[in-house]
Amino acid sequence: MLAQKMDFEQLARDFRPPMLRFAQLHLPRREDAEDAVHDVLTAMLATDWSKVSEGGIRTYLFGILRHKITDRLRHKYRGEIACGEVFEDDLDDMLFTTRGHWSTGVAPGLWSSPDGQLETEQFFAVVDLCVNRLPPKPARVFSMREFLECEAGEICNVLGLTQADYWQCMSRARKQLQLCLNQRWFGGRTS
Amino acid sequence: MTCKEYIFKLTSGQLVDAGLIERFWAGQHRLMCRRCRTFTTNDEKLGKAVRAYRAHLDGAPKE
Repeated sequence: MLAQKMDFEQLARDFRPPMLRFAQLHLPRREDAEDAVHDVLTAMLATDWSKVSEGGIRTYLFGILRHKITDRLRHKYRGEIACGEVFEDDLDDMLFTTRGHWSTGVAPGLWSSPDGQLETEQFFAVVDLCVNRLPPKPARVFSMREFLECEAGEICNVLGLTQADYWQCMSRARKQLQLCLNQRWFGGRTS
Repeated sequence: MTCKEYIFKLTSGQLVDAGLIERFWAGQHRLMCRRCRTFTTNDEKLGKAVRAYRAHLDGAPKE
Protein backbone atom coordinates (compact mmCIF):
# COMPACT_ATOMS: atom_id res chain seq x y z
CA MET A 1 0.00 0.00 0.00
CA LEU A 2 1.06 3.59 -0.49
CA ALA A 3 2.86 5.48 2.21
CA GLN A 4 0.58 7.97 3.90
CA LYS A 5 2.63 10.93 2.74
CA MET A 6 1.66 11.57 -0.88
CA ASP A 7 3.22 14.13 -3.18
CA PHE A 8 -0.05 15.45 -4.59
CA GLU A 9 1.65 18.11 -6.66
CA GLN A 10 3.78 15.51 -8.40
CA LEU A 11 0.75 13.27 -8.98
CA ALA A 12 -1.18 16.18 -10.48
CA ARG A 13 1.75 17.10 -12.74
CA ASP A 14 2.13 13.49 -13.88
CA PHE A 15 -1.50 12.59 -14.45
CA ARG A 16 -3.16 15.84 -15.49
CA PRO A 17 -1.94 15.78 -19.14
CA PRO A 18 -3.09 12.22 -19.98
CA MET A 19 -6.37 12.73 -18.10
CA LEU A 20 -7.02 15.97 -19.96
CA ARG A 21 -6.27 14.27 -23.28
CA PHE A 22 -8.72 11.48 -22.43
CA ALA A 23 -11.41 13.89 -21.24
CA GLN A 24 -11.18 16.01 -24.39
CA LEU A 25 -11.94 12.97 -26.47
CA HIS A 26 -15.42 12.85 -24.96
CA LEU A 27 -16.06 16.47 -23.98
CA PRO A 28 -15.38 18.74 -26.97
CA ARG A 29 -15.31 21.95 -24.93
CA ARG A 30 -11.91 22.31 -23.31
CA GLU A 31 -13.48 23.98 -20.26
CA ASP A 32 -15.67 20.91 -19.61
CA ALA A 33 -12.67 18.61 -19.95
CA GLU A 34 -10.60 20.76 -17.60
CA ASP A 35 -13.46 20.87 -15.08
CA ALA A 36 -13.73 17.08 -15.12
CA VAL A 37 -9.98 16.69 -14.54
CA HIS A 38 -10.11 19.34 -11.82
CA ASP A 39 -12.85 17.35 -10.07
CA VAL A 40 -10.65 14.26 -10.12
CA LEU A 41 -7.66 16.13 -8.71
CA THR A 42 -9.89 17.57 -5.99
CA ALA A 43 -11.16 14.07 -5.18
CA MET A 44 -7.53 12.98 -4.79
CA LEU A 45 -7.21 15.19 -1.71
CA ALA A 46 -10.06 13.38 0.03
CA THR A 47 -8.93 9.89 -0.93
CA ASP A 48 -7.90 7.32 1.66
CA TRP A 49 -4.67 6.37 -0.09
CA SER A 50 -3.98 3.57 2.38
CA LYS A 51 -6.52 1.55 0.40
CA VAL A 52 -4.92 2.18 -3.02
CA SER A 53 -2.03 0.03 -4.19
CA GLU A 54 0.98 1.79 -5.65
CA GLY A 55 0.37 0.23 -9.04
CA GLY A 56 -3.31 1.12 -8.98
CA ILE A 57 -3.11 4.91 -8.90
CA ARG A 58 -3.68 5.30 -12.63
CA THR A 59 -6.60 2.87 -12.67
CA TYR A 60 -8.13 4.61 -9.66
CA LEU A 61 -7.80 8.11 -11.08
CA PHE A 62 -9.06 7.17 -14.54
CA GLY A 63 -11.95 5.33 -12.94
CA ILE A 64 -13.03 8.53 -11.21
CA LEU A 65 -12.48 10.47 -14.43
CA ARG A 66 -14.76 8.13 -16.37
CA HIS A 67 -17.55 8.75 -13.86
CA LYS A 68 -17.04 12.53 -14.05
CA ILE A 69 -17.17 12.43 -17.85
CA THR A 70 -20.28 10.21 -17.90
CA ASP A 71 -22.05 12.56 -15.45
CA ARG A 72 -21.32 15.53 -17.69
CA LEU A 73 -22.47 13.67 -20.79
CA ARG A 74 -25.70 12.74 -19.00
CA HIS A 75 -26.45 16.37 -18.25
CA LYS A 76 -25.25 17.71 -21.55
CA TYR A 77 -26.77 15.37 -24.10
CA ARG A 78 -29.89 13.94 -22.45
CA GLY A 79 -32.84 14.78 -24.66
CA GLU A 80 -30.69 16.26 -27.39
CA ILE A 81 -31.09 13.17 -29.50
CA ALA A 82 -34.77 12.32 -29.93
CA CYS A 83 -35.71 8.69 -29.58
CA GLY A 84 -37.64 8.77 -32.80
CA GLU A 85 -35.00 10.65 -34.75
CA VAL A 86 -34.23 8.93 -37.99
CA PHE A 87 -30.54 8.23 -38.38
CA GLU A 88 -29.70 8.68 -42.02
CA ASP A 89 -26.76 6.50 -42.88
CA ASP A 90 -25.61 7.23 -46.39
CA LEU A 91 -22.56 5.04 -45.92
CA ASP A 92 -24.57 1.90 -46.63
CA ASP A 93 -25.67 3.36 -49.98
CA MET A 94 -22.00 3.47 -50.95
CA LEU A 95 -21.05 0.07 -49.55
CA PHE A 96 -23.96 -2.10 -50.70
CA THR A 97 -26.17 -2.57 -53.74
CA THR A 98 -29.93 -2.30 -53.49
CA ARG A 99 -29.99 -6.08 -53.07
CA GLY A 100 -27.72 -5.93 -50.05
CA HIS A 101 -24.52 -7.26 -51.65
CA TRP A 102 -21.15 -5.50 -51.49
CA SER A 103 -20.71 -2.91 -54.20
CA THR A 104 -17.72 -3.55 -56.45
CA GLY A 105 -14.36 -2.29 -55.24
CA VAL A 106 -15.35 -0.96 -51.80
CA ALA A 107 -14.93 -3.87 -49.40
CA PRO A 108 -11.63 -3.54 -47.51
CA GLY A 109 -8.89 -6.07 -48.25
CA LEU A 110 -7.46 -8.31 -45.55
CA TRP A 111 -5.30 -6.37 -43.14
CA SER A 112 -1.81 -7.58 -42.45
CA SER A 113 0.63 -5.97 -40.06
CA PRO A 114 3.85 -6.99 -38.34
CA ASP A 115 3.60 -7.65 -34.62
CA GLY A 116 3.76 -4.48 -32.61
CA GLN A 117 3.01 -2.17 -35.52
CA LEU A 118 -0.47 -1.51 -34.15
CA GLU A 119 0.92 -0.13 -30.90
CA THR A 120 3.06 2.65 -32.29
CA GLU A 121 2.55 6.39 -31.89
CA GLN A 122 2.14 6.68 -35.66
CA PHE A 123 -0.69 4.16 -35.68
CA PHE A 124 -2.40 5.79 -32.71
CA ALA A 125 -2.25 9.12 -34.52
CA VAL A 126 -4.13 7.55 -37.45
CA VAL A 127 -6.68 5.95 -35.10
CA ASP A 128 -7.15 9.34 -33.46
CA LEU A 129 -7.72 10.96 -36.84
CA CYS A 130 -10.25 8.32 -37.89
CA VAL A 131 -12.17 8.52 -34.59
CA ASN A 132 -12.37 12.28 -34.86
CA ARG A 133 -13.76 12.02 -38.40
CA LEU A 134 -16.82 10.07 -37.21
CA PRO A 135 -20.17 11.87 -37.31
CA PRO A 136 -21.01 13.36 -33.87
CA LYS A 137 -23.72 10.92 -32.80
CA PRO A 138 -21.88 7.68 -33.70
CA ALA A 139 -18.71 9.19 -32.23
CA ARG A 140 -20.38 9.76 -28.85
CA VAL A 141 -21.84 6.26 -28.76
CA PHE A 142 -18.61 4.61 -29.88
CA SER A 143 -16.39 6.50 -27.46
CA MET A 144 -18.71 5.81 -24.51
CA ARG A 145 -18.70 2.12 -25.38
CA GLU A 146 -15.06 1.61 -26.23
CA PHE A 147 -13.19 4.29 -24.26
CA LEU A 148 -15.43 4.88 -21.25
CA GLU A 149 -16.38 1.15 -21.21
CA CYS A 150 -20.05 1.91 -20.63
CA GLU A 151 -22.63 -0.82 -21.23
CA ALA A 152 -25.15 -0.38 -24.03
CA GLY A 153 -28.02 0.18 -21.59
CA GLU A 154 -26.15 2.96 -19.82
CA ILE A 155 -25.27 4.64 -23.11
CA CYS A 156 -28.90 4.58 -24.22
CA ASN A 157 -29.97 5.99 -20.86
CA VAL A 158 -27.38 8.77 -20.81
CA LEU A 159 -27.91 9.84 -24.42
CA GLY A 160 -31.66 9.14 -24.57
CA LEU A 161 -31.37 6.56 -27.38
CA THR A 162 -33.41 3.55 -28.32
CA GLN A 163 -31.63 0.25 -28.75
CA ALA A 164 -32.10 0.56 -32.53
CA ASP A 165 -30.41 3.99 -32.47
CA TYR A 166 -27.54 2.49 -30.48
CA TRP A 167 -27.08 -0.32 -33.00
CA GLN A 168 -27.17 2.11 -35.92
CA CYS A 169 -24.54 4.35 -34.31
CA MET A 170 -22.17 1.51 -33.37
CA SER A 171 -22.51 -0.02 -36.82
CA ARG A 172 -21.79 3.27 -38.54
CA ALA A 173 -18.78 3.88 -36.31
CA ARG A 174 -17.17 0.48 -36.85
CA LYS A 175 -17.80 0.46 -40.60
CA GLN A 176 -16.37 3.93 -41.05
CA LEU A 177 -13.39 3.24 -38.83
CA GLN A 178 -12.51 0.13 -40.80
CA LEU A 179 -12.77 2.02 -44.07
CA CYS A 180 -10.72 4.91 -42.71
CA LEU A 181 -7.95 2.72 -41.30
CA ASN A 182 -7.95 0.67 -44.50
CA GLN A 183 -7.36 3.81 -46.51
CA ARG A 184 -4.92 5.59 -44.23
CA TRP A 185 -2.87 2.76 -42.74
CA PHE A 186 -3.39 -0.62 -44.37
CA GLY A 187 -2.65 0.39 -47.92
CA GLY A 188 -6.11 1.08 -49.27
CA ARG A 189 -6.56 -2.37 -50.78
CA THR A 190 -10.11 -3.31 -51.63
CA SER A 191 -11.91 -6.31 -53.09
CA MET B 1 -28.95 -13.14 -44.89
CA THR B 2 -27.49 -10.46 -47.16
CA CYS B 3 -24.04 -8.93 -46.77
CA LYS B 4 -25.60 -5.68 -45.60
CA GLU B 5 -27.60 -7.50 -42.93
CA TYR B 6 -24.60 -9.54 -41.80
CA ILE B 7 -22.29 -6.52 -41.58
CA PHE B 8 -24.92 -4.59 -39.62
CA LYS B 9 -25.34 -7.40 -37.10
CA LEU B 10 -21.57 -7.74 -36.77
CA THR B 11 -20.71 -4.06 -36.39
CA SER B 12 -23.66 -3.18 -34.15
CA GLY B 13 -22.56 -5.83 -31.67
CA GLN B 14 -25.74 -7.88 -32.00
CA LEU B 15 -23.88 -11.08 -32.82
CA VAL B 16 -22.19 -11.06 -29.41
CA ASP B 17 -25.47 -11.76 -27.63
CA ALA B 18 -27.29 -13.44 -30.50
CA GLY B 19 -29.03 -16.77 -30.09
CA LEU B 20 -27.80 -20.03 -31.56
CA ILE B 21 -29.88 -19.83 -34.74
CA GLU B 22 -28.83 -16.30 -35.58
CA ARG B 23 -25.18 -17.13 -34.97
CA PHE B 24 -25.56 -20.23 -37.13
CA TRP B 25 -26.87 -18.22 -40.10
CA ALA B 26 -24.20 -15.58 -39.58
CA GLY B 27 -21.56 -18.31 -39.63
CA GLN B 28 -23.07 -19.78 -42.77
CA HIS B 29 -22.93 -16.39 -44.47
CA ARG B 30 -19.28 -15.98 -43.50
CA LEU B 31 -18.48 -19.36 -45.00
CA MET B 32 -20.00 -18.34 -48.30
CA CYS B 33 -18.89 -14.70 -48.56
CA ARG B 34 -15.18 -13.91 -48.82
CA ARG B 35 -15.68 -10.16 -48.45
CA CYS B 36 -17.71 -10.54 -45.26
CA ARG B 37 -15.16 -13.04 -43.96
CA THR B 38 -12.40 -10.49 -44.58
CA PHE B 39 -14.40 -7.69 -43.01
CA THR B 40 -14.97 -9.84 -39.92
CA THR B 41 -11.26 -10.61 -39.56
CA ASN B 42 -10.45 -6.92 -39.94
CA ASP B 43 -13.15 -6.04 -37.40
CA GLU B 44 -11.44 -8.27 -34.83
CA LYS B 45 -8.17 -6.45 -35.47
CA LEU B 46 -10.02 -3.15 -35.18
CA GLY B 47 -11.21 -4.27 -31.75
CA LYS B 48 -7.63 -4.99 -30.67
CA ALA B 49 -6.48 -1.67 -32.08
CA VAL B 50 -9.19 0.20 -30.19
CA ARG B 51 -8.24 -1.52 -26.93
CA ALA B 52 -4.59 -0.64 -27.47
CA TYR B 53 -5.59 2.94 -28.26
CA ARG B 54 -7.68 3.09 -25.07
CA ALA B 55 -4.69 1.88 -23.06
CA HIS B 56 -2.61 4.54 -24.81
CA LEU B 57 -5.12 7.23 -23.80
CA ASP B 58 -4.91 6.00 -20.22
CA GLY B 59 -1.13 6.05 -20.47
CA ALA B 60 0.78 6.57 -17.24
CA PRO B 61 3.61 9.08 -17.24
CA LYS B 62 6.88 7.64 -18.47
CA GLU B 63 9.41 6.76 -15.77
